[in-house]
Amino acid sequence: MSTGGSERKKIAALSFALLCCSLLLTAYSARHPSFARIGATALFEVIAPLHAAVDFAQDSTRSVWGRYFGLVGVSQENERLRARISELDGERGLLEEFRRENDRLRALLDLNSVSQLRGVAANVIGDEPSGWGQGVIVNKGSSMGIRVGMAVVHPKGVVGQVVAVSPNYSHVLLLTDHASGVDVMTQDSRVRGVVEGVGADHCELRYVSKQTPVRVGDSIVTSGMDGVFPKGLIVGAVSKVAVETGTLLQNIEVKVSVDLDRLEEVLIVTGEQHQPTKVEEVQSLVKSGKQGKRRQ
Amino acid sequence: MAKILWSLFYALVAIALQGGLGHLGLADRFIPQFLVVFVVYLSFTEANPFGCVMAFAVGLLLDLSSAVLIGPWAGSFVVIFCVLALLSRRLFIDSGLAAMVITFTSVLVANILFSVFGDEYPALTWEYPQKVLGQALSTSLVAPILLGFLSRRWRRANGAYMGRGSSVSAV
Repeated sequence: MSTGGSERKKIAALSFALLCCSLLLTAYSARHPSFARIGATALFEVIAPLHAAVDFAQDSTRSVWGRYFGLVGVSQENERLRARISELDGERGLLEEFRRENDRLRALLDLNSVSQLRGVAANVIGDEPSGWGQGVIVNKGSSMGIRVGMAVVHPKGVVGQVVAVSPNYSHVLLLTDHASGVDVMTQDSRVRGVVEGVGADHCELRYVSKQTPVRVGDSIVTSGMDGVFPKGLIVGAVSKVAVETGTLLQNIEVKVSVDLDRLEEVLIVTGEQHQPTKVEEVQSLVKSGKQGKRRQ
Repeated sequence: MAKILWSLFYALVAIALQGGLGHLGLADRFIPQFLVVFVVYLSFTEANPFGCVMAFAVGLLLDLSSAVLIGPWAGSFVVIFCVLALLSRRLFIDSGLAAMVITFTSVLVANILFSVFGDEYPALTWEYPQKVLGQALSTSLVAPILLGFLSRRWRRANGAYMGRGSSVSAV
């Protein structure tokens, strides 16, 4: 299609208008994060099944690929036996895969019981597609009680936070995303700060003054002060500390404890189990004692 | 109508594929940006207001998929479309090499514009240039095939012959 003079003017004018529109949308969605989730909810319902299909295709391809190469070069007389071995290998591989999945899910359950977290286990089915953000899509949504803002954890530590939910899928913003921030403290010295993502595979611990002692290797845990992440969850360990002249704060790099590139299952924290306080324990004992006397 | 539906379908599949490839273990820096190829294609075949709106719409879909900021990709796609559409009488993507060069440049510019519109400066680290260059390279490698595919599908959806200025036969 040849672009005539008037057509070119139209394109330029419309492009300018749409560019202004997109900048306004950007500014508005930055101030009102809930606005960004409106369309995302519907979009996940459409895209997530495609992600699941890609996931399924991967498994199938791997299986076909493995079997094909397993049978190349097999002589005629050994064909049946080799096929059987290949079949058994496939089954063993499958069982091994089940065993590992079982171990991972058991670890999630252990996390559930040890840290008194109530949660929903979910499978990661896709990555954030835009290429800039650090996020994953998981296969549990609002129908399972998932809500925006819930913490997402792994047996090895904190993963991120739910930022958008559709009935069957959720979008989890990873700890390493530049838009992510978690209130934390060092495990030993209890120095507080905020771990923020930088878009790479590590994070930065910010707002820690020069006077505060922080060493390489210090463990970082959640402080529970942000109202999102329960207290005491491992975030990572300090991997680099730099003190620059002319600044009040330290530059601290944190290596995240969870391998976020290899996430398969996560636990979405829906709440903490109620831990009875000492007073409540005494009250319940007194109550049960009174009921016992009445029966007598 | 068929063109709109087909564009949206392509955009959704492209978004799913971009997310899916990462989950399959392909490093981020090698995942092609299929939507940029589509915008490049639109700017040469639909150099009119309809193409401009479609470029904005597919950008918006990509923004929505991130669920964080709405607008940066839409804005950068509109700019890419506008510049290429205005140059479409002087530029031709008939040859595979031309398609690769134009797509490579478009991915670089789209990412730079995204970082400007989305105010991503604090997040800029050394890994970003590496990632963007890798994505530009992988996108330019798949561009000739994808443009050929798009050309055939678009003609079917269009149901009409397209003239010299709009011809895309990169493969």
